[in-house]
Amino acid sequence: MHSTDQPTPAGPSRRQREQRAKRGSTVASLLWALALMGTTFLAKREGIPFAVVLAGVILTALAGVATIFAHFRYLRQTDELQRKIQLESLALAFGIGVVGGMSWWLLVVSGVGKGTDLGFVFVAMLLLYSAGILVGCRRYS
Amino acid sequence: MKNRLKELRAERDWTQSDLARRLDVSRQTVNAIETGKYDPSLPLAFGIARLFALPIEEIFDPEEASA
Repeated sequence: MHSTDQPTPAGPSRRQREQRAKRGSTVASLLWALALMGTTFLAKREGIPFAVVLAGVILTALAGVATIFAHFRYLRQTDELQRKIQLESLALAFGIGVVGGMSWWLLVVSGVGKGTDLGFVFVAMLLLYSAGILVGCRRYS
Repeated sequence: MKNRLKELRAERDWTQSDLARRLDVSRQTVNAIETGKYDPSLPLAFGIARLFALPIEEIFDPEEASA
């Protein structure tokens, strides 16, 4: 068994790798959020050439893919309890997002609900994911 | 699952952080195992048994639910 704070002869320790992966995931998420906000802002402004907006969309998608891979990397490097908390939070957010989104869609299709903008579902998923992390950390501490 | 982790750690005068470093996990994980809120994976349970030089069944008791 080696210390989690000290690098091993084979390379950085698990904790160092975890911290690095966590930083990478956070930076990628922030870049994606900035790209999303910037592209949304450009798309809603008049007089912006289509090519610029398209470049923004592609950049946002690339940042999103980078965020997914960065989070995968973090999940692989993190401690087993943290991984459990992360997976439970992701399951909660995904489950409620899918069930809530599909329920809303059914209401719209059946004529009870109005509007087709499902953007709120993604916001709710992000909030549920964050809440799940907080609840998980409390539950296991 | 009840376990003797806290008792074994106290016998060696280790803090939760000391044990976490030796097991290469977070302090939160050690705390969650000690309080019975989290059951460790098989590799971690074997790691704990190896560290204390005891058979797994002398550390973990699957028959008795923890408080």
